[in-house]
Amino acid sequence: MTLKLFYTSLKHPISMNYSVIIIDDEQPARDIIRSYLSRHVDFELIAECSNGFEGLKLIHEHKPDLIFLDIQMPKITGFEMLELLDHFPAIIFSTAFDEYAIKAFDMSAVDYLLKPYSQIRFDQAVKRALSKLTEQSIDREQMSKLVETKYLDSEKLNRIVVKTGFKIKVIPIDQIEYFEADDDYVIVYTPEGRFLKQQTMKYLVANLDSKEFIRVHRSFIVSINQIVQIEPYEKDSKVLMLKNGKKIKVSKSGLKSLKEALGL
Amino acid sequence: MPNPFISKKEYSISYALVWVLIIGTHLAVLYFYSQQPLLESVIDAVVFNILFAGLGLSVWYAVRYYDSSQSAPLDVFLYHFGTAAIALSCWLGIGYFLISISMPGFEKYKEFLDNSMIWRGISGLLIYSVIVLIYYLYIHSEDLKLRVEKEAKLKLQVREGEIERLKNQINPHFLFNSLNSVSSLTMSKPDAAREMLVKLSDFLRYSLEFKENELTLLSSELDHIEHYLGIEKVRFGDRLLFSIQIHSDCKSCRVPNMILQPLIENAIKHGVYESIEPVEIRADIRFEDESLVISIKNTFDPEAAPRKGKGIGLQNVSNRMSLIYQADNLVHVKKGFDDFEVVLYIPQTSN
Repeated sequence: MTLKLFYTSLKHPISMNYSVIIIDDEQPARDIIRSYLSRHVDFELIAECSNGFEGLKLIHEHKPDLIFLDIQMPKITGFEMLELLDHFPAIIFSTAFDEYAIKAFDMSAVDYLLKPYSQIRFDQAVKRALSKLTEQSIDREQMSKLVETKYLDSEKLNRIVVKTGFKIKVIPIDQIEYFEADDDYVIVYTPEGRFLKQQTMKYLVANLDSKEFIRVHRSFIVSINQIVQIEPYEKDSKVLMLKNGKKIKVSKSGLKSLKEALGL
Repeated sequence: MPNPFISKKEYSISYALVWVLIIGTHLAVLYFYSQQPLLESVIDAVVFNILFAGLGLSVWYAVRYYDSSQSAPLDVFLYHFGTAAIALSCWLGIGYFLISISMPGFEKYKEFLDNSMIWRGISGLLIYSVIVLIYYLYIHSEDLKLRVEKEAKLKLQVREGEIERLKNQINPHFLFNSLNSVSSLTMSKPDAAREMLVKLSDFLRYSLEFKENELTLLSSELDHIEHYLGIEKVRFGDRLLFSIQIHSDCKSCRVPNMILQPLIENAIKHGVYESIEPVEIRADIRFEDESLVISIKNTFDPEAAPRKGKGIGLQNVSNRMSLIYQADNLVHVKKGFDDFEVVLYIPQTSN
């Protein structure tokens, strides 16, 4: 392969090699991508790994141009991994899950391969990736914003994945006390401490179970289980008393949705 | 279960009507047959029978709160006979006393009353027995109704589970990932690819032949899950470890069709899918107290956030077991810190 690459680079001295990483938890699935990819001289496979944790590390280290990404993997899903990226490569999803298709395209993935797929179908995807990469118009800033998409209705968020330093933490949703908005970020409060995550309140409202979490204020989403009582505060306004002793402001519309949720 | 003569309107009305009828008959007998004066006859009939009507209501508790299914027939008879003796004595005593204080000219009536006590006792015992029998009939019919309802509900759940299972058995995620593995193997190891296709075909064939209430040999079930695990082994490699321990005399036992696959699927879904480290699935099959005991145990990553949808497959296995063997408590689940175990107790009758 090195020889072939060498030969090709002689033939096309100006052609550029794009770096590729494969992230899939099944060995045979990685094998087939590697094999299909070997026909594409513009792309060079620089690493592969079997889960999202390693994937994050590799992407951070190598800043690849293109990744092939499975969705259902141990520890964190492909989508959760994307939420934690700082560097955005072009993405081709490779998965057996048809139900994720809509979401993947919303995330402006280059393409979406349904397992099992043929070399021809694979070639199409790679061709699309190539044209996207050569366009130079790939706006990474914009891509990072597109990572937020609506989960399917049947599927509510059941965990939140955050980065603390170089570590990744998976927080089960029932351990979360409340969320606070902070510019482009939200702060996730748990008994273990607070974590910063790049996400919007709008996204959380759309994807959290509305029976469990209520947006009580422009800046706050609170877990219903954490509420101890609602107290009056100044005139016409209220605060929530939480189990951990903290007090949270409630807006007028927040109070309304809170009352609805509690059946008051 | 409350007393039907109190809690149910149509029962209360019938009960009252029957007692009105008895009072009427009693009155007629005293007045026309025994030639007693009208006033005395009325007082006698009303007092004794209203007392008995009240007594009849409380007999419910003697029937309801005595568990006759746990006792020998003779004990049941003695229990009710004793209760009846006490109740009837009280009834006669109180009735006699009430008449003695309420009836003008009781002195004249006393002799007749004294002579009739024995007959009152006998007819009282008859009515008492009828009431007890009615209560037993009622309780049994209600139990039967409950059981039929419960069974219908279970059947419905199994049917719903069946639809879910049909969807899962040709579980698209499993199927397409397996086909992808075959596709991959055709390039590197064509022989292994062929072998995997054969396993996949056997697996699908067995799944499609599945019939709800049929029993099958344990050995066919084991072959089936071995095909299944063989396929998953190609996908997951060293991440999946499987071992089975079985006493040789168990293999000819009969078990419900497709009862093991959902358990293995669960173990893979919650164990292997969510873990980077190797996950061990162990099947332990033995014979114990006329039952085939099958334990499926898997390790899992305690740090993995729980997957949703947990328990539907297990619920369905449990429903099928109670429907087929008409017994609860045949499926036990134990969750440890980093392992999960399901134990099936499958009754084996000698035939």
